[in-house]
Amino acid sequence: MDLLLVVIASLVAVPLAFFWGGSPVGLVLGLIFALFSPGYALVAAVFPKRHDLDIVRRLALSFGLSIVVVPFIGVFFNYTRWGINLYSMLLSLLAFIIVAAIVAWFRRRRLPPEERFEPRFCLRLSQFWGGHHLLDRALLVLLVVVIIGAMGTLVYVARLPDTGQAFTEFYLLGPEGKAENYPDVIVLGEEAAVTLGVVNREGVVTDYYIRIFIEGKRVAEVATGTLADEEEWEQRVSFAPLGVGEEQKVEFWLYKGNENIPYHVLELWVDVVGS
Amino acid sequence: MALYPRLDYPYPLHVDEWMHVGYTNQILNIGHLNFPHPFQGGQWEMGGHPETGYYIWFGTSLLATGSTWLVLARLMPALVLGLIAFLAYAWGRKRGFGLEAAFFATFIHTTIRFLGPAFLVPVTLGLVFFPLCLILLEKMEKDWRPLPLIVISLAALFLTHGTTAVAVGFVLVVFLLFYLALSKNPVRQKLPSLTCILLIPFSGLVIFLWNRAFVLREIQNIINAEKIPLPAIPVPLPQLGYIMIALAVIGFGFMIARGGWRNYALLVPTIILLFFVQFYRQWFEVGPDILYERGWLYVMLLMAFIAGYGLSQLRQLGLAFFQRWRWGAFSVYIALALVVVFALFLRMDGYAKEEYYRMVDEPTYHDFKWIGEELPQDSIALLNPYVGWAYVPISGQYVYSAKAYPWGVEQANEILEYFRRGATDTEYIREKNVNVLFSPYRLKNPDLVEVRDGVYILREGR
Repeated sequence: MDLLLVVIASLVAVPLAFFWGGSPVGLVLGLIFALFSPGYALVAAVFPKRHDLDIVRRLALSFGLSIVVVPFIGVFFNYTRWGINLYSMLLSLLAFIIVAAIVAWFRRRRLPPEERFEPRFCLRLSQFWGGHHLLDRALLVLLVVVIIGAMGTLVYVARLPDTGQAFTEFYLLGPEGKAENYPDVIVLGEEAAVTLGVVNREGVVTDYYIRIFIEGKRVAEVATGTLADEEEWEQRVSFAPLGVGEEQKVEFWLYKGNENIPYHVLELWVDVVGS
Repeated sequence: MALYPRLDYPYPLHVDEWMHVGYTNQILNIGHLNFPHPFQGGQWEMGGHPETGYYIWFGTSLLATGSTWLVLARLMPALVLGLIAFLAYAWGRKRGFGLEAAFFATFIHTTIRFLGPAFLVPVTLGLVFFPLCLILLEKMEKDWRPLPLIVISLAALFLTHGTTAVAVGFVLVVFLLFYLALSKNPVRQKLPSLTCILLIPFSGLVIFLWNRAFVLREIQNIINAEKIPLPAIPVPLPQLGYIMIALAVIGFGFMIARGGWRNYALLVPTIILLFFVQFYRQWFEVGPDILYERGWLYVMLLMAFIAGYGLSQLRQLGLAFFQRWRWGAFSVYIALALVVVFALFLRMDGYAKEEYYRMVDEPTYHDFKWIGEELPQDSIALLNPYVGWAYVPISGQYVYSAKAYPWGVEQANEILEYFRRGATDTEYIREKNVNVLFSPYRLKNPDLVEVRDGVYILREGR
């Protein structure tokens, strides 16, 4: 039963990793698959008898020996034409688990039933509870609370904690919305274009506006409107130079709310030629 | 405990954490254990890395969960420390101090100098092997079957963190010697242990086969150890809290008083390692440094077991002493609970006093991420070589230079001076095939476009 469970969990974990990697279920099953199952199957194969190991040590060794198994599989695949990748590592680990589980199953079958290790999952709460002293019960309750607390903390940390830093991302892309083809040479009288982007990470709703200056003279202004926290704004913006000249500095000043001091300034240089 | 330094910070803390993420990502990208430099790229192939086992383990965890390295880098330190505690519990349980050992095992301190369980680094994973091998060792008292498992475990540890493997091997040998010398088991039952002592050195063969040059170099370093005044390593014991220290001393006392090979086998390596990290280095000032740098972690783990033993003995003594009193057991447990709570309080205080640096802040993280998403994958960035360690894992792109300790390094000074002068010399970056700059200063070069705050890209053809 236990071996079957380990194999089934592994058979579920592998396709999850292949096709739905990154999901919370995939994370939990993936961790079990990589950090527990190989060791459990190995321990079961080496120690098939009930009295070989108690359940706590069996579980402890399962975690520990999983860490032992994985590097050797990786080193082995390093010398094959498949190399170390998603498929080679996970399928070979799965194969290891299945083979070890089969060996464990055969070895258990050769033992008299009363000697076989078979974890019993059914637990009568009343029997369990009644068999303990009052203080032990209190300690058990405390332990459960601590474990739940630890799990809660783990879940809290698993999500990105808020660093409390308030900032705004301000970026400049080329006219096609990629980091290429930035205006370089502009013919006087024609417009050049860039893509400007703002991401509000201030933690509050914020208004922004952007002013474009060439050689210190304002040539355009655009407002982003109101952006909610984590909201992004991206827009193609055009501007036209006012005079001919080489290496003219184009500045993009981002202002926040009604402030008069620019929050961020980005710049590029253009040559403006006569028509 | 492992989560404490990163409760309000989502990114890896120590430069080594960033470095290991970079190496792991490179192995997964390339698909082999011979790979171009993970941070600087190029043709040069790195192979036979002495911490390969760790990279494979972390890489496999990434593949199996499908998670990003950022998620696992936050989760894993806590999970690994949880594993250490669980294995400590499983080991100490039979002798009646499992819970106590597990409790104090979580106290192992983390500093930026000798690392620790709050960081996801190979030595942290290596700590799991202490209780793991001790469990297997105890099982081997009457059984041959754990023998290959111990040898394989040590071999895996040699591939993961050689220094820890040496320390674990040393502890195992001491345990086995005490068992062989003092145990009353018949000689036939001692044969597996005797064989194990003989095989332990052979487990190190795996790292010799994997990277012979590295092993020979390390052996040379030990043989030709020069007297080098090494920077002092701050003693971390006060950070553990004086209650744990006191309990460890009490545990020492109880162990000596109770005697038995198991107690001596735990005491002796602890004392030797403590002497080694605290005194040997200061008196003789010889390398290799790594043994001292990481040695405190092993001492703290062994001390945790002893402190756990001390607490359990106090519990038993208290329960026996107040046996006849009606509220005796209750009072003993209340007293022990107070001890535990105060020990925890002092330990948290120790963590709060420890200072950790942060390689990147949130805006910088988003800058690097944006670069990774918007700029071509073959871009090469020029930035402070120290921050380069964080740049590569986040952006997925190479840097011109990444140095863990750039202070005083000529190349690092040159780069920072280049930025300080406004990066006006375009040829300088063209020669280096650099096309992205992340500058702490505003740059004045018409060949560059400032695409984000401090992020400049080189315009070709100007």
